[in-house]
Amino acid sequence: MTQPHEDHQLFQQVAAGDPRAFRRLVDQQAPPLVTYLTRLLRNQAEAEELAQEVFLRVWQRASDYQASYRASTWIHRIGHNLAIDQLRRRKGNIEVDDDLQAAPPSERPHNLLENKQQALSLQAGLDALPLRQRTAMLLRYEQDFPNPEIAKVLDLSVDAVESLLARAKRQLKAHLTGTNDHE
Amino acid sequence: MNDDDFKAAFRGLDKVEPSADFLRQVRSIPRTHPRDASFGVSLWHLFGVPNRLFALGLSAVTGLFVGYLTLEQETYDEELMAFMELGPDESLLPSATELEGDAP
Repeated sequence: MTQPHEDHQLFQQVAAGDPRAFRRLVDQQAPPLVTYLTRLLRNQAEAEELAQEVFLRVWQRASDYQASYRASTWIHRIGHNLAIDQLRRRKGNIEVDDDLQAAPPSERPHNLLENKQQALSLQAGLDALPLRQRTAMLLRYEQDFPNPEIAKVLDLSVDAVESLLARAKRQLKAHLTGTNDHE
Repeated sequence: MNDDDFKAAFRGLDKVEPSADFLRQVRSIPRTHPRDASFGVSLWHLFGVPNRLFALGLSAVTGLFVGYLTLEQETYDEELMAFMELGPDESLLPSATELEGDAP
């Protein structure tokens, strides 16, 4: 993760119209953003379309960047808001790829870190979470965002993020271990 | 499961690689979407109009000031004033004697 002052400098260059600085920003931020949006939307083509819109906004409004944000936080926040709008337009009918459907309970792995089935099970567990919990988990454990940065992306307090994560972890753990353990 | 277990589990998710087409299109945004030209022009115009007005005003004030300095001396030129003044026995109107003398 880059330092805020480096991000600020980069955004200043982008705001000044420097295409090389913009390319550097794209190279840094596009892969994690596309990953995050793909997990949320369950559709990579749609995620890339949204990510393109995000970078277009960044290019056109780089001067709006606030130095208190990390570049990744600011960009993920724009992407998150666009994804939420997209999901609302779908009216809850979120597409799920066939090859990522939940694994049957009989095939659930005992060792959680070994094979593809584990990933499928985790994806299914994530899909079963309420949207906010899912986004918080993705930002925390896949994107490696600290809680204060997650709070900025989701526009919540840090306490609310901690509470979301605690509930999400309990539910996901229960899903992955095939128990109803609410420790 | 602790935090490390969750992190490890998330690392096991299928990798999402941005497509080459997506990256090409996004990287070319500065070329395909140049900063709003009309916005720039209008700002420049907004900046230019007061500049022109200011230049015009400055020219007028300078002209008036120079004119004031030079015309002041002309206005109070004693010779000029003397030329304009009439003596106590003088009149701009011809007297009756002068008029009769001119008659054929």
